[in-house]
Amino acid sequence: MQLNSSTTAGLTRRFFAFFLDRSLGLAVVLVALIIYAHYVRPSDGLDFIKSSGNVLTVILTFIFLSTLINLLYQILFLCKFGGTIGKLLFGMQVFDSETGGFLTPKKAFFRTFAGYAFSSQFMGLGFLKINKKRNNMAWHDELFSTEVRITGSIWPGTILLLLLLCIVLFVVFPILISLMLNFPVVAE
Amino acid sequence: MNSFKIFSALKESIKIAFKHKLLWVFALLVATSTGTNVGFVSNLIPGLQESSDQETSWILTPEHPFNPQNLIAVEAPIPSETEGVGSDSEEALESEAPLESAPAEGTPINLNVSNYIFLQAVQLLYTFSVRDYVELFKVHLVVLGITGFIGISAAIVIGFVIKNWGIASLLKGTKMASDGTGYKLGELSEVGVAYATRLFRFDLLIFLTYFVVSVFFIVLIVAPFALLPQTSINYLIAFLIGVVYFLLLVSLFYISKIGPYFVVFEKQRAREAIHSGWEFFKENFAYAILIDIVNFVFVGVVLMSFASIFAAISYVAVVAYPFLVLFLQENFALILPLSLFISIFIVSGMLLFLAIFGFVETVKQIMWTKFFFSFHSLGNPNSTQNNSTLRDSFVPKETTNAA
Repeated sequence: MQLNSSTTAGLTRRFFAFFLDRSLGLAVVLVALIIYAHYVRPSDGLDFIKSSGNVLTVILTFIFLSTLINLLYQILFLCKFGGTIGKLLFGMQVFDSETGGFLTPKKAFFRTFAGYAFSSQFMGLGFLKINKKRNNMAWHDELFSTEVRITGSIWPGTILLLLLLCIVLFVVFPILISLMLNFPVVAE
Repeated sequence: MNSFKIFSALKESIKIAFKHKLLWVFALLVATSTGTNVGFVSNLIPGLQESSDQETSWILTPEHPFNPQNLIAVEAPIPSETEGVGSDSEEALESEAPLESAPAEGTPINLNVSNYIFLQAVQLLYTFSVRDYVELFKVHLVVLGITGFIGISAAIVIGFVIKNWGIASLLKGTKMASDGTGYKLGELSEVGVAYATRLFRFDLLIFLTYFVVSVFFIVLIVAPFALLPQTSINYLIAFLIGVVYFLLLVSLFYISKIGPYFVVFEKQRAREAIHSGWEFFKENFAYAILIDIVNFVFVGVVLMSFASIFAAISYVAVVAYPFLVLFLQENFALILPLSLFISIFIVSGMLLFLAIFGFVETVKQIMWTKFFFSFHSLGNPNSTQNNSTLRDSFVPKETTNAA
């Protein structure tokens, strides 16, 4: 298949997919924090220590294992579905330009970790190259012979992103503000 | 013996490095990559990276400024005396005048939520002994210990694999650049992927050797002082052992620099590369040390030049600051363009620093590549002593050097 810039994804679409991926990750953490803030109060005394300990253990475990979770998530999604959730929802998939199929686990690993680290040098110059290069290739695409092709519409991703934005503005912020206002000292 | 002209090599390396800017990125990655994944955890926790540099006292005495009672006393007086330090029962906790009951009704209190949470946390830390925490959270501590070990180990391993991918790609890149042949990013990366794990094993072996040698020599130096009366002969022996230890460390340092060339270009395994690196260093140690000195001076001159320009600009900025403030008071509309200009200036400065850093690292690596290939021809078993013997003893037939 002859590829040109109209079938490969550009910087804007890839940026929003990346943004959606990060937002989803953040949403998980935020929901956990809201649950924590809602149910666990400092005034609970010893129970507070216990429940804080439980939540803290879960959070620390998540942080400790975040590299491994990220590794498994990236490899699994890139090899099985051709992209992370953000990419898929924005209608993109990553293909191996040598074989034409999805990436092998080894390639997915190196693309995600070494490739992104390489592209991040010089304040993300490798990512900005997407718009400059033929076939919209970032440095990490060039390094591992991969292409991010457009395979669907941007609407699922856009709608989800807008939905997340609305949730943050109209649900998360009011909850956080009310929690802050209802804190014992402030209420006094 | 081969002749190797260091200064002409440096001149040529500068020219090559200037021409091949993509190598700067590899060099920069290699120079900074061991921290990339290890730092992942600290990147997730805002402020952890900054606070790790600061020393914090965790000893809380009643007079300690972090003692919540003292802090509260500043904000609002506590009506009753509190319990003593270290009371660990639930009743004691409750009788410690909880923060929300402290202020009198209607008393305005200037305490925001984060301060409050901080005070609560300190209060709990203050009241509970370590034993209480261990008792409460022993299962959690075990879980955290295991997950922490697994997570941090994984992050370190990934960091090193990436670094070694970068090293292998950079070595290949510097060789091709020195030879004047063109290359593509994909070509270099293929070499990086092929040798990343082998170089990781090489790193691991070097680290273990460092560790074993250090333990052995430290014991050797300390033992006579512990077992025998302290005489001047003891000091002399310790000094001599220290010298041998230092020489071994220097050798290991150079083996760790030369070994990757044997891995990447001679397709040698980790143990074999260490031995070949040692043989190579033994033969050419004077040049190796000289190259490092020249590199050191070169890097120093380049970075000092940059630093002096930066210092001069900073000095001008500091001197001009009061005048700038006066000027902006009269020309308020210029604040925005001026801020924009300063931001662009700072970002440009950072980019320039990264570029210079990448450049000097590339020059250094090209110097080493030139040095290596001046004394070693690929696929020539006699070019480094005892290579063939070593290969026969360590490496299975199918993996023996076939460059």
